[in-house]
Amino acid sequence: MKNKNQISMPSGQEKQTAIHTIISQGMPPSTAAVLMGLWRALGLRGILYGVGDCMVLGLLAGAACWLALIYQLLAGACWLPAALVAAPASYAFLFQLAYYKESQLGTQEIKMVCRYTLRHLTAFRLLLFGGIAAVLCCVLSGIIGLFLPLRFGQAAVITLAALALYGAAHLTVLMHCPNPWMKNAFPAFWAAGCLLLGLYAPIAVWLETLFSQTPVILWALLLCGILFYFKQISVLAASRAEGESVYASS
Amino acid sequence: MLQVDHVTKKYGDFTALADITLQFENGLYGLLAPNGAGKTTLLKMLATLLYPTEGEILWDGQEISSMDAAYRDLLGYLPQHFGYYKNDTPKAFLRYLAALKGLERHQADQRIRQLLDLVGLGAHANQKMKKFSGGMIQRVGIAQAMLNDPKILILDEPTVGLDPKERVRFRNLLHTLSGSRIVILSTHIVSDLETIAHKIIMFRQHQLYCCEMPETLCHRLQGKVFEVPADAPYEGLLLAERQQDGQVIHRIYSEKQPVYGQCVPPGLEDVFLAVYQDEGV
Repeated sequence: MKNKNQISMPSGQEKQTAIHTIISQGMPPSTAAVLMGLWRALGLRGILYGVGDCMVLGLLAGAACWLALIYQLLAGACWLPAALVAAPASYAFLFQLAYYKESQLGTQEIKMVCRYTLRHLTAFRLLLFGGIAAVLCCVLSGIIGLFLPLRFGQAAVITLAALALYGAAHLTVLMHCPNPWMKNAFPAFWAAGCLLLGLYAPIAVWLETLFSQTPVILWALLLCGILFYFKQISVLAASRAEGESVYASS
Repeated sequence: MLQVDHVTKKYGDFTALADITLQFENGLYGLLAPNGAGKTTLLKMLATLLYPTEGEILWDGQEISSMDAAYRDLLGYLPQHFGYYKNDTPKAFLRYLAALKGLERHQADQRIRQLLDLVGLGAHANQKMKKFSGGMIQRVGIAQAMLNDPKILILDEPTVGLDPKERVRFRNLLHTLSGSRIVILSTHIVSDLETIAHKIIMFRQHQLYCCEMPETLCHRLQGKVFEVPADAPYEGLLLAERQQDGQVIHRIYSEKQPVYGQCVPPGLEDVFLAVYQDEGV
């Protein structure tokens, strides 16, 4: 039997290196790491490959919703319902048009079997569309500020909270609702809900007053919406649900 | 080795595949069955697009759904309906897919050149795909499936809609590729497999019927396939007709030799028609 003193034991550095290797190769990568890998592999052009035309159409359609908001503002009517529709409009159109094009072209299946799957690509696109829509919300808030004695910051928080809550709710419906019709119709339900709010003016006015007097509620909604949205993005990217379509309406 | 272990797939009350057990090693496997038999379902499960209701699919002993990206790196898949961007060139499209498959740019460019030459599209690399014929599109499809030099190549009815010349080209290409990887090809066109498949897999009533070499399958019908003149009486299943010297000859499957019948060596198509005679083929 060999003397224990003759067995060369690994040094502290070697041990740490071995542990690090085992962990990095054994543990699944985080969603952030996968999405960063996707970004490095594809870049912006690759992320939007094939859906560039959808971007243009989506932004135009979103702009049309803004025109409705501006009309409301000019008419002196209650602005909140129109703002709740206009804020996520660009995001909704970008998302739906890109999905529709991918499903019509039939490219979903081959993308689902790549290292970076369609789900990863969708998650990144949603972050991108959300970022674009957030910038547009800030512009929208500036427009609101031109017509109303409403601080830019408050308007921005309202529109961003609407965007974040819409995004989070839409992703939740997409991933968990079994009814494909409901998944596709969610944007319409959101718009209908906001317009109904517009029909019942006292409720809209009450909400406006509540938000202006208790801004902490707005900030809480914004924070919860953002956190929930990022959580749902992470769930989507890591999802192993069956099927070639993340939207399950095909 | 790719192993399918007692896999069942159900959609509600409908059983698409029941208790399928298969093993795949390097070579070309043909999934031969009529429409609706479950070929695409099995291929999609192997490609991780669907998950088994029961059972598991293993790669070298590890469950493929747990392998995640590591398994997808081994996989090349050509779906039944291959989608592409019409206004793109095959080079641009393959570059995009190569990036999704995690290939480095310089490595991808070299690989794309090799693959386009392999599939005979080297001269059309910068031509828009909207000008391509069906056969050319399918060749782009197989090139994208080969981008990551997969260990497992899954092709779902790749020759549908191709003319005979394209189908021969496809067969030769697949034969070349099957030497060093698992190639699983689904089709209901028997001639696609007859000369190139190492093993034929057939399903019957959503269960595995056989997984055997083509010659073994054909041997099952040895002495049971006959040719008779069209006007001669016979008992059995009509497999095919042909003309000879102005006369119509019937090729039949029968347990006993008909009076004017001449025994002929059975082919894979005879096996297909005989096995699926009750399934409206």
